[in-house]
Amino acid sequence: MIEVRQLEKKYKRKKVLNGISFTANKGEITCLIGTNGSGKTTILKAIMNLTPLEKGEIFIDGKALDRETYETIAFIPDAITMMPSMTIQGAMEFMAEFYISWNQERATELLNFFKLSSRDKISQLSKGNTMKVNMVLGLALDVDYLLMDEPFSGIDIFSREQIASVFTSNLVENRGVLITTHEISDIEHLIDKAVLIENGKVVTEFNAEEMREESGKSVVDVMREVYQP
Amino acid sequence: MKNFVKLVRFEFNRFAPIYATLAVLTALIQLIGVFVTTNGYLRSVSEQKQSGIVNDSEIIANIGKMGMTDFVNSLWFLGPIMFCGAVLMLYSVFIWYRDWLGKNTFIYRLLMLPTQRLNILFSKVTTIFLMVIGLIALQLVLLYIENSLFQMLLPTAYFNYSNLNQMIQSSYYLMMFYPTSGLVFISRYSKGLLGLLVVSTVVLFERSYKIKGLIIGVAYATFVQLIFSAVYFMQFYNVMLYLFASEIFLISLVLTVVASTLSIWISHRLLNKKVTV
Repeated sequence: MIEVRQLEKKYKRKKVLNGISFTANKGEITCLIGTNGSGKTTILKAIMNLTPLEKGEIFIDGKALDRETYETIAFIPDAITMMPSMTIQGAMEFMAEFYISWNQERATELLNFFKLSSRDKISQLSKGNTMKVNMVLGLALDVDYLLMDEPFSGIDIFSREQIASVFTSNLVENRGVLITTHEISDIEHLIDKAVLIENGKVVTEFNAEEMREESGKSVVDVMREVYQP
Repeated sequence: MKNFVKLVRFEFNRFAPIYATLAVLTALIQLIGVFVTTNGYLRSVSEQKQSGIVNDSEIIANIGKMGMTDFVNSLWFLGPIMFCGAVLMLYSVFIWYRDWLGKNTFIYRLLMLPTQRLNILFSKVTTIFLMVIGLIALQLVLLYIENSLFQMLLPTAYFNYSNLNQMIQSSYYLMMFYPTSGLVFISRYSKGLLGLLVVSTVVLFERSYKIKGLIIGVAYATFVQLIFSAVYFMQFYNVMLYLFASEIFLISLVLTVVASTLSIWISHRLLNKKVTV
């Protein structure tokens, strides 16, 4: 379980995170929802220790993040994390060299699934294909948790559908996924848990299925209540 | 350790094409320089002969002999060395920023590697240091080749033979790179390594606190520089008359170790607690 406790973070004088707490369970898809600038990306970066916090604690399966944790949790940001001069093959070789958890078989499977050629240079890929490469590099790690930052942002509808279909495949099965997205409609039916953020605080968090059964509300319905009261 | 070696290899390969170009360019310019200098010299010799001086010893008395001791102070020789030095100095900063700036967010990947983040610092500093050592070793080989080339191109009477030691001793810059004493070698190269560590610390300060960090970083680098300048001036003005040269060397070495340790510690803190992507 990813446990985020009382995170506080300021950018200059603006408090971006103001006591954020939530959990994301293994085997579930948890979606962080919020307006632009609400701190969703900052939370993911903080979990990976890519940005310092003023206050707060983060635990992965009860342990604070250390260098070994990077073998159990992967972050797929909205920008490519490999050098543009590399080919996809070069990027995969880099991953294989440094990560014990790298699964080349799965990487090849994903390349075929996304119809990518390993000989292609990253700098020459379209935005959609770059995001797919980013997905390959994250999903081909045998990790327990996946953090995804806006995987559907700025890419065409067919690429979005392809990426969305990953969530129903065995590629994320039994893993904990923490995702931020604006394009909620693409994955609304797949979300197990939603965490709604506003002004640096968690406004509400709920189980999507229970909400649907008990109140007859979809995630979008709850979002409307929170963000457009 | 294994990850450190892998990272050094990776960093080295990233710069290898430019590094190889620098090495080839250095060799090429210096070798062309030997030909041009020899031609110029032989032209002077024939001008002397045309003016009626036929005796070799008289010509040599007028224009001197030609060899490496003259060539090592020419722009043909020093130009490429200075160019390589400038490129490597710039790259010691750019080696960090190339992972951060523009569309490139490779720093995400580096910081998320399942290894100590300090390895990122060590690999970048080691890469630059190895490249410097590599070019200095190449220059040593070039000195031999260029000396042989002068010998081939010049008539024996006009060739000024010099051994390696004489070549080095005739250039202030070569004496800097190839000190004759082992202790001076250690002192000089450890200071070079410290310089690279301090530059990296300044970059990490800037990456952690932006403009404020840059000011702190520059202040830190100035502070380190001032300490070493103080030792140098004390030595220069004989303030430490009661200390032997070996003791002053020891003080300098201890200061280098302390400043390097401090830089590594600060960089470790910044990389793990403060740096932001």
